[in-house]
Amino acid sequence: MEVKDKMNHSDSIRLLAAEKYLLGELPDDTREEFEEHYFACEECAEDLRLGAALIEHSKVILAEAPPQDAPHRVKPESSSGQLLGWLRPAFLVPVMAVLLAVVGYQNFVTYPRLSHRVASLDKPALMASVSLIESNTRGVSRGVVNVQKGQPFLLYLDIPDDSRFTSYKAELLGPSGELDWSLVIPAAQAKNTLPIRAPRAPDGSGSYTLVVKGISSDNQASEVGKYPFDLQIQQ
Amino acid sequence: MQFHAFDESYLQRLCSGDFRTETHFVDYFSELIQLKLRSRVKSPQVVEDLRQETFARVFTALRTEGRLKQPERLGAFVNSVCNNVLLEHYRAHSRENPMEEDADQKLPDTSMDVVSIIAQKQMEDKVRQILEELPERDRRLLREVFLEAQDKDIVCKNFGVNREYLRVLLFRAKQAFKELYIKRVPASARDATAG
Repeated sequence: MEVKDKMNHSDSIRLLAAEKYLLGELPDDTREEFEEHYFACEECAEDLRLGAALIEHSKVILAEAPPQDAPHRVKPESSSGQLLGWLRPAFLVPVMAVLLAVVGYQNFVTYPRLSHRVASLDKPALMASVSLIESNTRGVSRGVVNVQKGQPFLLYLDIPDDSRFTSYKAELLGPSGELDWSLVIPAAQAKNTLPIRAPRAPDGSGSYTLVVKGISSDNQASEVGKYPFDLQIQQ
Repeated sequence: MQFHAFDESYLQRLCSGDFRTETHFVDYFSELIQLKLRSRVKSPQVVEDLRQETFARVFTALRTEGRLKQPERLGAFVNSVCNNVLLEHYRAHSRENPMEEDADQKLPDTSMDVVSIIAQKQMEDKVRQILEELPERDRRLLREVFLEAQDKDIVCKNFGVNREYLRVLLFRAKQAFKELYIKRVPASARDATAG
């Protein structure tokens, strides 16, 4: 079977063929030539795959956030009748009432709470903690940490030194095995005992496990330790 | 997706029904075939039907001794078969008699395994990072072109740019994505199979 490859690799790069293909801008004959080419050319095939993946993932991500106002768009002007319609008491009074309620709640509830929280961060305080240093060792009983509800707590951890890894990742698994949070730890910091501040107890009292994985320079992850502990919430 | 030289050895394994080679082959060409078909056919179901028909014919041809004399032309052959399948689709809009000898041809399952799902999530994270680094204006431009599928000429006019700007924007985003993806995503998560 003879198939002529009319477009070569240099042509496809020079023409931005992959981009034009994905944008639907290639004329029919050039499109067919590019297709003949990318079926045979590893680099262009990979390029096209990544371009297509970029577009597909972009659609998902861009759909998550509503667009900002587009100042370049010319919005249709409202007629005077429409403008006056917004000022009708039957519409305006309830809207103002809702706005007043929102402002009042913010001023009397939300902002004072936030101020209190910010102020509390400036004060010294004891924090519940548990040492996981030996919990990876067989025969050692599980550590227990008693934490006030909604409060953070400290986990003390020693990671075995291993030159294979450029960083580590600590993942907290909840009582049912689900991932609560993960934390990347540079290898340099892992040489010392680590105090990890867990934000709060996400799943209530129960048995938790901190799983530590070593990350190599080629991004391969290898589990280096599992550190179980019990967490008890005090109301 | 790692490229494997489509040499005599690969072709022999493919023709002999080696599962890993077949899986690699289907994974490698599936997306290329889908990209080609989607540029011409709207219905996802028809795209899938034509993709399967293409592979069915390719496998039948490969197992006919002497049919493909140049293994390094395997990619071009797949493209050629896909072209024929498309032509027939245009003429008939439906096929009633798929090739009977391959009626039971089971293509390797290309649905995602755990590694692929993880790779997809990693890709999405990288794309998100790239989009966040773009100016808001460029993000809006991409949104209107790709998500809202608005007319590209009108979108470019509204943004005060030309079509070349859009191409270069896509090119640069793709290059940035390529750099991040190749550096950060483990090879094992990028490969469908090791052939």
